[in-house]
Amino acid sequence: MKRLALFLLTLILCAFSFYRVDQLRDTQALPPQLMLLPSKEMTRVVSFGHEILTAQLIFYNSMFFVGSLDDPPTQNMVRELFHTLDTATYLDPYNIDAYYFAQGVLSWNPSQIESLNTLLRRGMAHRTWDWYLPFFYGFNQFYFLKRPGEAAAYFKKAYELNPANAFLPTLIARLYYQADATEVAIEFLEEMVRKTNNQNLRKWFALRLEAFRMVKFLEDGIAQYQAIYGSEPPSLEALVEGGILKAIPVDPYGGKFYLDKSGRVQTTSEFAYGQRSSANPGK
Amino acid sequence: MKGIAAIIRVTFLGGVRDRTIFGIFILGMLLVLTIPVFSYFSMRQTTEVAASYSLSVISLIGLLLTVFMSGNLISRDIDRKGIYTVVTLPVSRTQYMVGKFLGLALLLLLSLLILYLLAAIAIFLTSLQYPPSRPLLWQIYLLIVILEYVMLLVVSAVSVLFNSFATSTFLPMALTLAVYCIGQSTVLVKEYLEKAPEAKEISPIVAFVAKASYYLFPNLSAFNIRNAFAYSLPVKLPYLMLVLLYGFFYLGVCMFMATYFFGRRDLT
Repeated sequence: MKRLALFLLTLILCAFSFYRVDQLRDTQALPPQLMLLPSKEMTRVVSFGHEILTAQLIFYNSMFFVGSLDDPPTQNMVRELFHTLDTATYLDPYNIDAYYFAQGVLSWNPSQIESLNTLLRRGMAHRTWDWYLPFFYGFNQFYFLKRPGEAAAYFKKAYELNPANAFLPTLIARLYYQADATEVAIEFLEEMVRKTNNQNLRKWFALRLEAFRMVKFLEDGIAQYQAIYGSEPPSLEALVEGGILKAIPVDPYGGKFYLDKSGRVQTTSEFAYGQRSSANPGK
Repeated sequence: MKGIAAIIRVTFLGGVRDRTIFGIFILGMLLVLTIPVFSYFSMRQTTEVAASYSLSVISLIGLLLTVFMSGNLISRDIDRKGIYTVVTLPVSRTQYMVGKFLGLALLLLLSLLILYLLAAIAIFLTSLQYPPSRPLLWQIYLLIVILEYVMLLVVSAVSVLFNSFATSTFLPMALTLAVYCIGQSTVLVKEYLEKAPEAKEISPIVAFVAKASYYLFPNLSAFNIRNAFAYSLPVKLPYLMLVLLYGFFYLGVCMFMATYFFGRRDLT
């Protein structure tokens, strides 16, 4: 009897202490950290033959890390992310998850495009059957590096690998005509949103898509302004004053749209990456 | 011959009854059950992740099984004075050693077959829900089972060799694990020393040790073709046959040395 009472008391105390631990855990929680990895050669040696598993774990770590961020990653984080994803694809050059994720987070950051492309070239050398990699590569060539000729060649490669992609031929055709970059970006993002099953990443793509649709909306307004007034608008506000738009849409990243000197629509947030922390230090 | 058969039988049944082995085995089953959880987070290659994860996990459990089972293969008999009964039986020490090893091999085969079968079912079910980018090649899976088994046999032969002269259980286990780690990485280290530009600054003594280890320790990474199944890549069959042959020869050398050392050992 005494034993039973003592057991019950211990059980209750155990439950109660865990209840408190559970309550206090959130305030103690550290945000997920990006793994600090040694050089990729060293990481490969210490994975002791389990390179594929290690690569996938490294990829998961970077995905959870990015997924836990409230704000998009800073330049520094993006550089570290490149190192982790470079290591992951060095360990397992067939890992499409890592390439897909790298395209999602490393592109849109001008300083990382060339490094991202080295990753994609590694992927293309191994996953010779995968149309996604030349598709990504072509997109980067076209949109970020402004090399439409090379882009068209890679889109063609992607199309040859997967002829079911009905939108690629039109894209290639438009590239040869030096078509509107924003529209191609929207098409690209729509494809990414459609095919991504990771919640956080899809949210990010959707946000970017929304921002690009707004840019397209403003560009259409500018074209209309030109048709009516015969000259380029001096600023975006002129579109409202000229009665073409009711208001300037708000950048979903928190920045402000403006016209740069060459007449292109830009935003102070630079679509979230890089400038945000310095432009908006309070947030 | 009858003596060897009896020792194989005793080792096999003893292993089945052993709770440590049973525990590792349960762990293996649980880990196979975690396949869906682990592969769920993949964005574009769920089945590929399920395949590589389960193959890696089985390989690691196989290693644990091998190290634990072979670790106390002989030292337990010595600790529990069972060896004295054996010594009085009409079996030579060599027969005793070979019998022990074959019993262990049989036990390992059974455990691996069950684990690989469970994993195959899990991978197959995953592939139905998330079709991989290229169809899975099950003949490679079969090849992996064979290669992995022979690889673990090499590891257990190394362990038996350590057992033949070690006086504790812990030392052979630790040494075997070390040999496994070295065997998995010597190729990479050798490649690094030959190709990397930074490697020129490494002292020649270190380079020599690395090169010597490459030839001395079992080249276990040669048995690894897990990525060929995960991503449906082509394999070089004649090369793999050669690898298997190498495994058997390495195993043989270890067993010869083990029986030699054990034959000269003072058991009193």
